[in-house]
Amino acid sequence: MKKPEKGKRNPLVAVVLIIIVLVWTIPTLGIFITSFRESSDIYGSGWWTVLPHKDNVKTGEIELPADTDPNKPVEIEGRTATFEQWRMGVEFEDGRMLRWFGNKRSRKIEVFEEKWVGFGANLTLKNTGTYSAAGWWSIPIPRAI
Amino acid sequence: MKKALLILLSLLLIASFVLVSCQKKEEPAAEEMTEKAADDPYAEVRGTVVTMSGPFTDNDALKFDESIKSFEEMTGIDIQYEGSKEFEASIGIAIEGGNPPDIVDFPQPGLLKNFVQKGYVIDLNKTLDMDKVKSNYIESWLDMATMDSPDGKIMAGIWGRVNGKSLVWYNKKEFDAAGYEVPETWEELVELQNTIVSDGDAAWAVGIESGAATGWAMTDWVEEMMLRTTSLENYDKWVEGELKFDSPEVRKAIQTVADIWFADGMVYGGRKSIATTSFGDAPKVMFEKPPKAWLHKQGNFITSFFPDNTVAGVDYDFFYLPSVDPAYGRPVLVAGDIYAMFNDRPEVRMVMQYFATGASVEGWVKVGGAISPHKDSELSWYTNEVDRKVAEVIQNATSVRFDGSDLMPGAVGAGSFWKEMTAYVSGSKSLDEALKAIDQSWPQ
Amino acid sequence: MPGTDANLFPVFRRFSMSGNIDSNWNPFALAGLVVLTAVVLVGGFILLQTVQAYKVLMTVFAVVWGLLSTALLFFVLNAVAENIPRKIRSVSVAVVFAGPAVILLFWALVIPTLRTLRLSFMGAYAREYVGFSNYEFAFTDPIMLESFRNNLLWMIFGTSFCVIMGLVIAVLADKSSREKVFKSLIFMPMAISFVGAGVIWKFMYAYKGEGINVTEIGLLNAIVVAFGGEAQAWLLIPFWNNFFLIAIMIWLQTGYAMVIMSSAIKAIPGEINEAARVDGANSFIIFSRITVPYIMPTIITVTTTILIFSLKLFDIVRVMTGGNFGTNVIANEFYLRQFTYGNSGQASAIAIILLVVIVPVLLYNLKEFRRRRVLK
Repeated sequence: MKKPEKGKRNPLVAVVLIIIVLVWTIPTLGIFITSFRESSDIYGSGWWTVLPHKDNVKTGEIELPADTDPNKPVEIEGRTATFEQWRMGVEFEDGRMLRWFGNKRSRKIEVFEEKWVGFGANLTLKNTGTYSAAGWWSIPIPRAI
Repeated sequence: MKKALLILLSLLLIASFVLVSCQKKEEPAAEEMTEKAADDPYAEVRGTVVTMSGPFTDNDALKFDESIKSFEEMTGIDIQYEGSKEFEASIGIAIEGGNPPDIVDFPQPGLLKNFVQKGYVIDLNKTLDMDKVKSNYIESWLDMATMDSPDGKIMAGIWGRVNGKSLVWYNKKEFDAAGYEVPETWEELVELQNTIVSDGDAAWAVGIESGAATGWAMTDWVEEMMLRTTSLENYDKWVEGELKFDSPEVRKAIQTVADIWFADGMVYGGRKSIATTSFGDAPKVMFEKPPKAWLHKQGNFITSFFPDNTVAGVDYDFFYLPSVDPAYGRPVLVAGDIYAMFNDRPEVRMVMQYFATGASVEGWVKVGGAISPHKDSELSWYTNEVDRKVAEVIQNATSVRFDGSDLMPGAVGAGSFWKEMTAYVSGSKSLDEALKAIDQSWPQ
Repeated sequence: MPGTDANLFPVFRRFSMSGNIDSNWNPFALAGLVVLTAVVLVGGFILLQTVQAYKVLMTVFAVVWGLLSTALLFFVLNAVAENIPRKIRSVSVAVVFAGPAVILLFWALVIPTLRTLRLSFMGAYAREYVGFSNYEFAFTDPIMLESFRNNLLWMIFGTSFCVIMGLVIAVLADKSSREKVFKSLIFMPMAISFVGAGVIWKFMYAYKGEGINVTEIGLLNAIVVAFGGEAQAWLLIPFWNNFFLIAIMIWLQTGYAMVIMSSAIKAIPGEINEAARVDGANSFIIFSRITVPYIMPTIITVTTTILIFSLKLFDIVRVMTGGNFGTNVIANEFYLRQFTYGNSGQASAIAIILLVVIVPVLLYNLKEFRRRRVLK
């Protein structure tokens, strides 16, 4: 009944417990946050992006001339790289990242910078409504089409 | 005091007994008096109740109630529909327990077939005016409703709502902006795929995950290819079990799908993601900025999974999945709801006859969410552009066939076909192993 | 015991159960009352079955009928028991009062089990007898064998991890100051349904695919990618995906194990621990030599309960993978055979096998339960 060791709080115990409890509650926290997000956002990025973190934020656009041939290495702002490399994003010394937007037919380059992103936008209460196409488990496809 | 309470409650019990038993007798008497005057063609069915059961609930059930209201007012029959989310489990219990609803809406004929084989379903040839029914559907619909019963072949049901599956959806805005063109033939489609891939994106968005039903989207693709690469007779034989899965025709169909799905860069996420991406999540990549995939083949229900702010005909559209071999025409893979009759009474016959006409689904079509297979329905009823186009595709089809996995016996169609195809796609089984396993699982 | 029923039902104080009072019912009146009860019970039931309309009225009627017919039944049985000659009264009273409950149990539990046993020897549509072929199928079909293997994994790893984690957390929490908070947070997942847990963990295991600029939305994959690894389709990995599913059950059930063992740990008298400390034992020795042996009966009970639970496990597998990718379990296969394929013979055989496997565990649990009661 009585705790004879009251007052003798072992810090190791507390640490271990906190780790275990965190592991236990993170999944639930995830679903809690997901319930407030827009459907397209849910699929596009993880729920932890709602919390403040450093992320690539688009700061500008560059339009390439229409006659640029994406099948050969392309030179933009002094750097030369192939289409695939531009697609994955090329980092510049001044902290910017340039990334090719879309496929070879587009001529748009987006400029990104790493910035702190606060609590994610697009929190919505829409999900609490009647979600007739609710989710993968509630539609007994191909039964109820 | 306590004894008095007990006596009071007992009296209440007896009173409610009497009240309930008397209620039933009062109603018909009242009805009789008000209707005796008019010469009513529906006199004998007025005030009767027809019970119905089916898999759709919530919004759809409301739409259904709305669309049959005019019939109910005209005839005085009260059609009571009850939907259930666990339809396949609960309907078996109701029917085998000897207490079936009068009419049942089956979302797939395979389930109905089970009950026809056990002798529970009433033959519509004997109860309805078949001339009227036959003139209102194309041959394929009638063929698909004919099933084997202990008393021989019977007309087991009539088709109420249908939807088409041979549709390829695309992000219209981006498509036009990129300068791609809608393909009309298979060669054009292959060319389009290759163009998209050489442009740097994945061509198709494919996902087959669906919890316990994982794999059904793959079986849809295989059935589409079966319809396009071999004859209708072969398709029917395959569904019946006479044409084995391990046969050149079926292998060719599966290979056609594999050529697209397993090719490098063709599917967004690669082969490994197909079995883990939910069917509803798969088309979402088409609407990202920039789109990461461009084509998605699926039935027309998928529009409810597209982002909310997209508009039919403006943001997205579809084209008919082209035929591979023009010798086999323009087949359309369809799904739909078939209504079957379990209790024979005059009012039930009347309601079934009504469901065989386009008028029964007109209200639902106008509100959106149903496509009518009836010949006497009008394309002008469709308020949704996409629905109208789908109805057109179905009407202009040279042949329609139901989703094969729904026609096959449950152990295969909802079991081994799905599971083995999933195993094949995810790479854990070879095609030979998968086909053998499916053939072995066919119930004798 | 005399008088207990009278205390529960003041209405019947007049008709107390002490052996001395004979009730003075006219035998004919009594018989009439029995018939009336039967009529009320059966008639009401038939009425509820046949009348389809007036749903609200019927609901009210059902409630009233249910309550009152039970009271009437009790009243009548009591009167009947009173009237029986004193010699066999104690036996007859036991029969009369336990009777309806036993009959109900028999009808709702024993008869369906016997019926399932019978069905397991029949064909798919229960039309002909096929002997042992369903059992043959159950023990030779590769899907069934895989299910047995998976269930073994669930039993061994699921149960042991649940119990070990529960024990560890219970012991650790016992030593901490914010004990209640920790225990509540660990127990919280028990309030979540299995399907809900499936959704939650879907977002943990989600896999987007290969390709350029693919942002993983699953937490596990995001962590792996952040450390430079390659994202995996966790639920597709053959054999190991079972463990990912078992993790979900551990997440759900550890709270239960922890709560029960925590209360058992608190029941250990403090003097023993103090005495051990005085003798120079450290925490670990106290744990292994005193705590664990002391609460061993509790540990065993919790283990058997979770063991039975893991044998019956269905929801998690069905919702996460549907039994595909080598994760099938017996209960899921049973559901498929019965409701999706419509083969009642095979499904019944699987159900009987599951019952046979569970029964020894159940009996052991009961034995332990009874033994503990005697000791305490």
